[in-house]
Amino acid sequence: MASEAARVEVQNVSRWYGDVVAVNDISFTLEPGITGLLGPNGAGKSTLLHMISGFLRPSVGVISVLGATAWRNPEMFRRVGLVPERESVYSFLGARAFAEASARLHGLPDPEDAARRAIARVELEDAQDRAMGGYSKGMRQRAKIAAALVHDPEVLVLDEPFNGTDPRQRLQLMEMLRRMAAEGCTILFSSHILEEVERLAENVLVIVNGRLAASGDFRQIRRLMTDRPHTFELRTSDNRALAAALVGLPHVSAVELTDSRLDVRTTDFGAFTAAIAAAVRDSGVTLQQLRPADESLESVFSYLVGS
Amino acid sequence: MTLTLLSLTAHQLLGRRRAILIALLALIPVGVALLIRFAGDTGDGPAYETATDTIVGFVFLLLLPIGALVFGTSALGSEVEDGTVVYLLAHPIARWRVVVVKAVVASAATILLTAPAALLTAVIILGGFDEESLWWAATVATVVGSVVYSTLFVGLSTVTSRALIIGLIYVFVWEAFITNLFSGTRWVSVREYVEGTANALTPVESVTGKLDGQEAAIASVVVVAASLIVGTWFLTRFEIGERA
Amino acid sequence: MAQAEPTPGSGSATGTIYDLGYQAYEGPRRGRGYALWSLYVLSVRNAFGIGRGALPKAMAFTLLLFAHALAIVQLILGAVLPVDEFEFVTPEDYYGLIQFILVLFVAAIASDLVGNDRRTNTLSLYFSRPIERDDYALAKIAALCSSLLALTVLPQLLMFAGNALGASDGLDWVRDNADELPRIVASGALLCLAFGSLGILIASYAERRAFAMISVIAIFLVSFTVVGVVVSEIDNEQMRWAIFFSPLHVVDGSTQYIFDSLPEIHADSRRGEPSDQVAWADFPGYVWPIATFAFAVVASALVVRRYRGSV
Repeated sequence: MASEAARVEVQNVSRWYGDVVAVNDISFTLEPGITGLLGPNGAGKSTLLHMISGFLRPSVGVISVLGATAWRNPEMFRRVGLVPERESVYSFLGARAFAEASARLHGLPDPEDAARRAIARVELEDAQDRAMGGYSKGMRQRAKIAAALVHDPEVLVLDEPFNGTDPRQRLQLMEMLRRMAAEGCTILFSSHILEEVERLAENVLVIVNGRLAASGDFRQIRRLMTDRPHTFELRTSDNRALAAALVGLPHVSAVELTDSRLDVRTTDFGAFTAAIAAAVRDSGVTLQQLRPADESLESVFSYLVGS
Repeated sequence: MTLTLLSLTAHQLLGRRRAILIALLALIPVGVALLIRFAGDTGDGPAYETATDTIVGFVFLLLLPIGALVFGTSALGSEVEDGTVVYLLAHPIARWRVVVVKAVVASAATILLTAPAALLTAVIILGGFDEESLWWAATVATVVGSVVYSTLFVGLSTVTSRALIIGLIYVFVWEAFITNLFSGTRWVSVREYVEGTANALTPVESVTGKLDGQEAAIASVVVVAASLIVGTWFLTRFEIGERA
Repeated sequence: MAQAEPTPGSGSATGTIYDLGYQAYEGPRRGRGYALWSLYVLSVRNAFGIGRGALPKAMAFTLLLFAHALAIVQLILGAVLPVDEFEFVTPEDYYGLIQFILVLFVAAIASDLVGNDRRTNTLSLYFSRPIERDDYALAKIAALCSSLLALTVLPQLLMFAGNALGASDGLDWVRDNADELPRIVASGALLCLAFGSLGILIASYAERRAFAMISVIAIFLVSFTVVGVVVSEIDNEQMRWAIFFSPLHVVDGSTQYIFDSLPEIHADSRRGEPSDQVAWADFPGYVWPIATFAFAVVASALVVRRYRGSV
């Protein structure tokens, strides 16, 4: 059943603490590329990532990473890198010493060089010899990432990697992760911030209350959920006239006129997109702009969370 | 790999304020020894009884267990507590190696703290290296005790996050009380291994032990091995994650 | 009640604050005394792990059990052996025999009581409530002191009751030994005050819980051992003042004085038991309970000072 290509395979995994279910029957596989694990706080993201990194035993189910079971398998870290969420670091080390220690613990042949490259990747050269105790959150985050990269892992797991980073650092880290993905690395990162996932991830796993609520390309997910209302923003030469025409359509549930825009809510994505052209033509207005107002991960997410 | 592990652990253990304060504790028996030597009524000749009382009272019963508790439970325990243990465990390192290194560093730190204190106390009170080799017995017994206690507490810290309080109860209730009342429990008291070792190495009358030297040595080896095995067993099954 | 009201006085009418019906508490308040009492009760419950996990309970009750062990042995012996006046443990020696357990209990509970609030940053939350800083310090001391009663006076009373029941004529026994009761309570209370306030004082200065625990134990036991060795090994009159540096010696002196059982001074007093060493110092007996009480007062004052100065 296990496909050879899957770098990470999660099969019917559940994890509970006492009678609290943190992760509930989740299955998915990861291929090379970037996958975002999205969910609100307490959804079970960290528990899932800890299980994938072999730090938690699944109560039920199997997780394999690069073909081997993750639980009780420290050897897998030869090809896996982990960036944990907790902010604590060895406060007495500098980032370079930290990365170098990591390289040595991996038994790399040239730890100094590996550390230098990892530090360069996260652009932390300026502060690399200062003790990490005095770092800002963003710097610590980058130091942790550098330490996880020293051995050029095939699978990289990051728990909330962008916490505390400023926008410029965030862009830079995202660029770096994209490059790694392009080189064939399998990257899984968690976040509760939609914008991050939307900008970085090709694939999304949405986890709500411990259950996998959706997975795949997020636009696709969005389209699959046809029973949920969608809103379109229209700009036309005569908003009022078009509004009158649209109100009559069966799948249009609401029409709202604002100063320069017409917002239309529909219950059927497909039917509306098919009918809009005719409605515009029949009412004789010129269509200047038509765009889905909520084609963002945020709306998918809030919809899932709300359900 | 092992060297890096060693130096990281050593750095974490010794680079802290508590290490300095603990080191001050080690000066107390030496100070008391000086006081006794120069102000005491020890009379002529080596004061074996006084030396024994001081070494047993301070080094064996206080400094040794307290030092080993601090270093043993924090060698791995403080890393678990502040979360940095993840960085260690997210490497392809066999868990037994982690446990062994932690035990070695904790033992070394405890030896560094206690053995000079034992030696100096003996040498100061006895006015040099005595012929009955009490100084030797005290030092060797302290080294043995450092290794056994520290390894035991490293093992304990893989089992529970409350290793310190459990260790304290073990030392100050079990060893101090139960073993005193019921000598059948002497086999499960590290204190008895220490005193047994010392007793075997010097003919001085005031040094006593419930175990003979051979028994103490065997028991020490068993406890160290068992602690390492138990520690490895628990560390391979060690779970990191939010606790509910 | 929910109704929109524009904010008064704002020039541009774009900003609005909506009244969503939140209400301030207008009812009666029970005041500072009640807050103090609540904190005290919470701390005592915490000390015995009530309302907490299994581990704190196990710790506290293990130590409680050990503190009662001697009393229980005495009870069993008294019930089995038909000997009147048989005393395996005497009340005046009881606290001395279990002093390690008491120190351990003080270390564990004191570090828990003050260390947890510091570690979880709830201390500043307490101080933003109608609990004064002094109240906080005193509530913690009171909680530890009264928890300690369960390990000192309680086993003594248990032993007293058991001895009375075991005696051939219980009433007679009680009549003969009735004077023990106030002594048990007085000596126990003094001990609890001194140990409790010293424990909280030491723990309040440690940054981490583990370190607080070790510090309490180290200070009690090291002072005890240092004073014991120094007094027995150094023949110098002035050494009698050293005894005041060891709380365990001083408290022992207090108990022995209250039970009127300070040992006679003899040639080897200096090298004897702690009680002998206390007797050797040859201060008037009432000095010891006063010194014990002074420990409690000074330590409490220092704790109060400590919390006035820090969050």
